[in-house]
Amino acid sequence: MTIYRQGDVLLVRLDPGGSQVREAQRRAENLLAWRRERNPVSTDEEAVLAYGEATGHAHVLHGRATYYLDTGSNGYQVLELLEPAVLKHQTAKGNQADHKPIALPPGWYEFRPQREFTGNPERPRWVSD
Amino acid sequence: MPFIVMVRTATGPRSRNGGDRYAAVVELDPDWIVEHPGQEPKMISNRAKGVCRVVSHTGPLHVGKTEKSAFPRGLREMQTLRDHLNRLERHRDGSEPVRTEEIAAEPNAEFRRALIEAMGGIAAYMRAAKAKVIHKDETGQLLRVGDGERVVTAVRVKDATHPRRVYVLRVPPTVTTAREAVAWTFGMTADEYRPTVES
Repeated sequence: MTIYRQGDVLLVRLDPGGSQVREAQRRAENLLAWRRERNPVSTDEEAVLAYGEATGHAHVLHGRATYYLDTGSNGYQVLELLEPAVLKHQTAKGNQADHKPIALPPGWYEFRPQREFTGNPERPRWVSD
Repeated sequence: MPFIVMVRTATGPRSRNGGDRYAAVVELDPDWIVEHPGQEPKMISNRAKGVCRVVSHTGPLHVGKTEKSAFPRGLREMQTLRDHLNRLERHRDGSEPVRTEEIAAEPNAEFRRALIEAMGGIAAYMRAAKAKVIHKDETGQLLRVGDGERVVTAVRVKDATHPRRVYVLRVPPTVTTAREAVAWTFGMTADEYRPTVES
């Protein structure tokens, strides 16, 4: 399993023919049939994966990618990088923040934000910096 | 105090014989308290004047003189909740500092979490309670305070880019190693968590 970690954000490379990718595509098709007002698939050149409200720093993915919204397992999002991309941790002005950029090859990924235990196993909380 | 217990007679056939009552914990509007000192709202409702919200209520409970009577138990439950919420409010506004012994003795997991937040977060609590390091590896340190059902476990992690910068995250008490703890925060097992690139 190839894992890329930048602070509180983790990207796990998925097998293109694997069950997680097939499941994400299947769910996207089902969602598209149900939710006509919103396309569950979006393609963007640049996307904020995680945003820190306290610091204003963001983990931004630069590169054309297709995002399968609400389709990953356990609340995780699946995305397909269509070209080589860079994951940058940047300030509100676009400068590099705390973490160094990570180069990502094209392929399928699962985006996993970091979570924290709250005392209730059913309700973990997403970490934000 | 913004939280009070209100008691009313329930409507219904049994209530006409004086059978059922209900109790509720109500959060009062701070401005209303100043204008109406010592008074309580006219009714238990989110729409009543002076009520911010009805936090919890028992529903109709039978009032009787025997030990089987449900109302006194329900009333005690509401009074305990009111005391908890008022205490938490005092901690949050800084009028009463949170003590580590208080957190360790709190049986309710949700209140324990709220007390930890009021103290300044899990990192502040671990520092104040002099948490023990129970495991250490290249991913971080696993910390523990308390024992039994009231144990609080957290992992202290170093920032990959700035090793001097550390942060603390709470993890389930069942984890036994620092790697397992960090892996849990990303929804993985200790064996799965092997980052290829980290920054």
